[in-house]
Amino acid sequence: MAENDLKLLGAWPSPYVMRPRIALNIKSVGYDFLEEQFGTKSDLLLKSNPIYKKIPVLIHDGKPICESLIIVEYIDENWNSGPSILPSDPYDRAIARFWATYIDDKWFPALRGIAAAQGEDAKKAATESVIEGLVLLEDAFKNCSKGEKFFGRDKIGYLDIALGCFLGWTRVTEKLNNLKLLDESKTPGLYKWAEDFCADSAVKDVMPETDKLAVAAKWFPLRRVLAVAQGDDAIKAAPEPVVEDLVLLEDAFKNCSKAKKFFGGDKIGYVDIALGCFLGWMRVTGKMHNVKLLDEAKIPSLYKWAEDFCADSAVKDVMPETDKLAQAAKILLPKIRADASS
Amino acid sequence: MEGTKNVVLLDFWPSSFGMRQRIALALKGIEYEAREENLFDKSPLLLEMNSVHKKIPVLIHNGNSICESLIILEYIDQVWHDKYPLLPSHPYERSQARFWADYIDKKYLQIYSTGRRVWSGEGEDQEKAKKEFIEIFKTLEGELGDKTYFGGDNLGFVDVALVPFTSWFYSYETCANFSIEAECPKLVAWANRCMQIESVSNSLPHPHNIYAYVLELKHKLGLS
Repeated sequence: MAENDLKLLGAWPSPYVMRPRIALNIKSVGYDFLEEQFGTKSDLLLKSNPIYKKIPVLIHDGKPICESLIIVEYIDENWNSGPSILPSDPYDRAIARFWATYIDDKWFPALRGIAAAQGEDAKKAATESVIEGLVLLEDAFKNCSKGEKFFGRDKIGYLDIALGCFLGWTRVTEKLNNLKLLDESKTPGLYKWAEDFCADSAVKDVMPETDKLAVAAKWFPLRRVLAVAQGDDAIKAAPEPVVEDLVLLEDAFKNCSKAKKFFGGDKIGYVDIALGCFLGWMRVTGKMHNVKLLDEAKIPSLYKWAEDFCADSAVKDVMPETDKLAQAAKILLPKIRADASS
Repeated sequence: MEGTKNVVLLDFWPSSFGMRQRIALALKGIEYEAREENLFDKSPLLLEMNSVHKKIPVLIHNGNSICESLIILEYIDQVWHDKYPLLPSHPYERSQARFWADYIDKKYLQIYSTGRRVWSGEGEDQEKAKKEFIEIFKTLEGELGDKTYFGGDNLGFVDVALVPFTSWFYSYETCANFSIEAECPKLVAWANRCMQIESVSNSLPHPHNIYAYVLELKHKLGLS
């Protein structure tokens, strides 16, 4: 139990959540880490961050602070007797904030773009933009570190935290796409910095293992689709993320099935069942909102898989007909929505 | 007091982001050289001082360039902290001011694309845009509450971050035929209070001039 009334709402794979955790470690401040369940948002989260409904949220004496870098600045200013996180000089501070903004607005979206890229050319273009960004950051590192170990010079600071939290995902992206992003020959300063950062006592315990993160990354799209399947409003608001996730799953399917019919190979397995039972929902929702979720052009392998799954003897008798399901949905959904808003 | 000799602001007169710096520098009584940029023909100085984004505003102080409007505001507030501080002193209140200023910037992208749809969209698209636009300002109204300014009794960080956008209200209202005052009376009242302050009224262009600029832009982009 923390000495302060300090709670952090978060999740272990999130790089944004890692930022306040590192900052609190630097200040040696204890806190309760409340882990959000993937795919759901706790009442406390919705109450504490009504604007964005996202983690991390720091709750200090019942008062919430949102947005990871704003939380880091709060931690720095509130516990100002501990080692400082932001540089004291106004210009150095402006530089640190500038690059942190660049990382959040341009660099990390580019990194995420590698996974989302479809086709070799798109992947190559996405990879190049990430490496270009790293070259810019190498320069920033030289200027900020002035020959010392970190952006914050002799100790970890704001910009170290802003960039370092993405090292896990950088390694996972390298692993899953067979790429080299942090290249010792291209960005030697950052390469060494990455090692020093991960070894630091404030970071070690909160940096997830690459292998664990890789497994989480591989199945993120599936977990997101299943989470969305539980709520009709999400798909109505934005079908595109679901379609994007299905495209990512197409890739996962090809890797798992190894040219066989199912995720489980020759016969239906766990993942087939997990995803397959939502095929009825996907067809109905797609029909109701005039969105093609199972698009043969976009996800040909999953499209074929869906046919094979529904034709399987274990599934045929229990899979409801789409029209029957659509009729039931028409009657039930308005009632569910009315109940939810009352 | 910190010297004000070497202060240059690279700016563009209709830019809400540039207006923020003009207000802050005026409130703190800092003399500076204002350099107007032509965004269709950027100066070598701009390209050098903001090589990453090539955007205004850029503050040049003692030869150092500071970019990104909220980062510039924090810099100005820290360097010239004794006169008219914009951020409150308590860490929690500072975090809230930063949160709302960041919210404005995040929503700006939405406002900007919404704004364009508001003044150049048609029918259903324009209606949807108006709705999104109003929702953002209603949220900010909620945050203002019954305070005179977001900063309390004096202008604060969030006031300076937000008030420039109000110079564009007339353009949105005229192009899309709606009244922001009817939907968000508290916010418009707040904007009028801000305009009573000389440092604000001297820093913002007249809404009719913004409208003339919008018409020019629409013509240039073939949207009129």
